[in-house]
Amino acid sequence: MQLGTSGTDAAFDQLYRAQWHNMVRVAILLVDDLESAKDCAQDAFLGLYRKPPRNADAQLGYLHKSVVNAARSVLRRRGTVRRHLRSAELPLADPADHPVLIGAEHAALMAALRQLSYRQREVLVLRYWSGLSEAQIAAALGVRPGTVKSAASRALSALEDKLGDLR
Amino acid sequence: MSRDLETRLVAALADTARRNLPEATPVPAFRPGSSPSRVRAWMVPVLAAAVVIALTVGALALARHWRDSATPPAGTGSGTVVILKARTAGLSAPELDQARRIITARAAALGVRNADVRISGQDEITVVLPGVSDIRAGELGAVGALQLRPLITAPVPAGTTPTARPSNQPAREIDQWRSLGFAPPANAAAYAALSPAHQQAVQAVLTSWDCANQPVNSAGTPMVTCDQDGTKYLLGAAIVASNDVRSAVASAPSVAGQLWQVIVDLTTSGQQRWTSYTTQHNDSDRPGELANQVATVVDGVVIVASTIQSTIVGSTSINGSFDQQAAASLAANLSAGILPAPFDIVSIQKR
Repeated sequence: MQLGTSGTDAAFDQLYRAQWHNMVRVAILLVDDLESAKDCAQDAFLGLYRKPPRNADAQLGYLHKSVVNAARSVLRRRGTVRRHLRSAELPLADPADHPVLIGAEHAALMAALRQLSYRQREVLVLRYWSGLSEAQIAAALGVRPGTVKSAASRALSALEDKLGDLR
Repeated sequence: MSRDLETRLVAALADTARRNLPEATPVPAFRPGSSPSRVRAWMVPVLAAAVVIALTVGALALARHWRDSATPPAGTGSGTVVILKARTAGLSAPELDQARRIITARAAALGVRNADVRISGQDEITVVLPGVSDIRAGELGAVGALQLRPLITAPVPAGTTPTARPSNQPAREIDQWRSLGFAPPANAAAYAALSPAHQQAVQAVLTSWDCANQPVNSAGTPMVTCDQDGTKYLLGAAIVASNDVRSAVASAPSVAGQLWQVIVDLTTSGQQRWTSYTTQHNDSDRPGELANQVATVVDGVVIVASTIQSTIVGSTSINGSFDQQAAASLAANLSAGILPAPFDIVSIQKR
């Protein structure tokens, strides 16, 4: 583990304070669970601390990418739990241990969002919550920048379809 | 603020994110020592049992959310979303609901399947038209009031008075006859019976009228109004008004490439009145009389002025230089009833 000089520590500390809420919120929107979301953010900051990228842009990009990856791990693990429970024939709600609160008027949309694939959900959250540019989204998801726009519109269409199914 | 899916998604994500992590939540101290995800991984099988209860509760809560929340509009990949706002503020709830029903009927008349029309705010209606990109969706908010009014004197071609009004400025509604001092003539015969001085006074109202303004439109009162080109018309009291209209359909030209028509059917009493008028004033029996000329007025604007050729005993066709979209739009607006107030477009979004 590399400890930087106090200057680097101060810079990290500043970034941590500035971005903590943001990164947890991104994670909340991906994993639907507050505690898991905090863990994802913690993992991301830990990685950043250990291998700080040189400039601010790269740092933010790294954070987003880490949060997305951490969220995927959480969801995959949760999928294991889901498989255990399927035999009990319970409805396929998220087995989150601290389920997020959702306003009544947004419930249908958030429920539809949950039914999308990991990739579709990530694109929509990064675009419509984080407001990242196509290049930033591409970096966070590890895809080619040219594919982001079409991926986003396909994700929106899928969301629309799921909303229709929920009527 | 538009209500399309993207905007709703932004709102839902922002609300959920902030609701679950308020700004005031303190940032915890950063502990570089442990990786929390590794710590939690072993808890997964243990969680499985405890989660059964949470699942059921969660599912019930979700179900309640779904039932209680407003159902979202249906949609295919493409379509048009129109947001309309009443020009008159403070429509009553029954009026707004009537507007909603009328606009829904108009969308159906336009052949849109699964149109979703709902009240989306104070004096505001959102119309989702799935799979539609080629209709005059913005005209859904027109009041849809049809009048057939006889001409009183010859129309005045567009001149120096301005005809275009910046679209974001509301028109002023003006009582044209307020300073006249005598009852304005209801038709050409009444006009002919006026003294020259009174006739001049009436002509002055016509020539000084600014097409940018909106006349007070009362079916029983004569009116000065304009067409789309700025030509000004002095029109008598309405022979046929919106409550005489039973239905209207768009009619394709017999020869491809020609213009469309709108065929209007009247109620029994309206038809009686109209047939009576056209019997007494048509070019076959009394050629060249000004009273044979009738203006088709929709929402106070002259669509077309035509000459009655002979008695009209059945449907009346309006030939207003319509293409298919214009004819379909007008027919839909005339068929479903008139709106309690005009609705202006807040936004039209195609997707």
